[in-house]
Amino acid sequence: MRQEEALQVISDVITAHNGEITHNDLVAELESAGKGKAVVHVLGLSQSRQIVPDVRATATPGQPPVLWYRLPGGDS
Amino acid sequence: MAVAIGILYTVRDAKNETSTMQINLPSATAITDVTIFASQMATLLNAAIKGAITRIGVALTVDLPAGLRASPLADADVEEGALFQFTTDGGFRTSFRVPTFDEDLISAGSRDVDTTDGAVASLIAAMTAGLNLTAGGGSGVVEPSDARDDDVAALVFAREQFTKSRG
Repeated sequence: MRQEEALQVISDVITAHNGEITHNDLVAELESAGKGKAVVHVLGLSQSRQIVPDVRATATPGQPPVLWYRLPGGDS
Repeated sequence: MAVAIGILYTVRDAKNETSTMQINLPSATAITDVTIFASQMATLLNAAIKGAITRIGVALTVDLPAGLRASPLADADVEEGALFQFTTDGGFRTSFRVPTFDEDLISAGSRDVDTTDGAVASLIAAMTAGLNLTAGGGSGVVEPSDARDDDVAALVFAREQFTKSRG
C-alpha cells in the first residue's frame, strides 16, 4: 500500500471517530478491517504532519500518556 | 526528603581533557534563582581555576511517578539497548540510547525497532511532536530539543545496539 492510499484509509478512520483516535485503537481498527499494511505508514504520516500526533499526559498519576491522532486543521 | 538540585560545571584543560564538578542547591530553590546562582558561582570558580568552564548544566531530580516497575524484569540487561536518532529543524542529528530495551519491540528478522508498536510510536511522537502536559497540570505542549536548543523534528532510525556496561 502506498503512503497516499494509507493516508486516505487512515483519514477515513479518524473521521469516523469524530476527528481523533488513539494509536492503539487506530491500529486495531485498521487490522480488523484488513488494512494492516496502512499501519506501517502511520509513523511517516504523523512525522510529516499528514496526520497530527498528540501525546497527551493523563490527569491520573501512574497512567502513561496516550498517543492520539487527528487530521490537520482539527482542534488541538 | 526531596533530593537537591545539582549544578554541573564542565571544565576543560590545556590538553583538551574535561572534568565535571557538581554543586548542589536545596530542592525548593526556584529555577530562576538556580540559573542566576549557577552563573554567579561560575565567575567565582573562574577566578580560582586555570581551566576554562565550557558548560553549566542543571540536574533536577524528579520524583518517580506511580506505575513504574519496582524492580527489573529477570532478563533486563543494560548492555542490550536501542539507539534512537533524530533530526532537528536545523538539520542536526541528535540521539539517545535506551538501555534494557525490550527485545519484543525489535521487528522480526531485523535490527530495527518496531515503530508501529504503540509504546514505541508514543515515545517517538513525544520526541518529535512534544508531550501535551495540560491534563497532567502543565501549561501545554513541551517539545524536546537537542543540546543546541534546536527542535527535534523527525526520527532517522531506531535500531538495537549492544554495548559494554560501565563499572
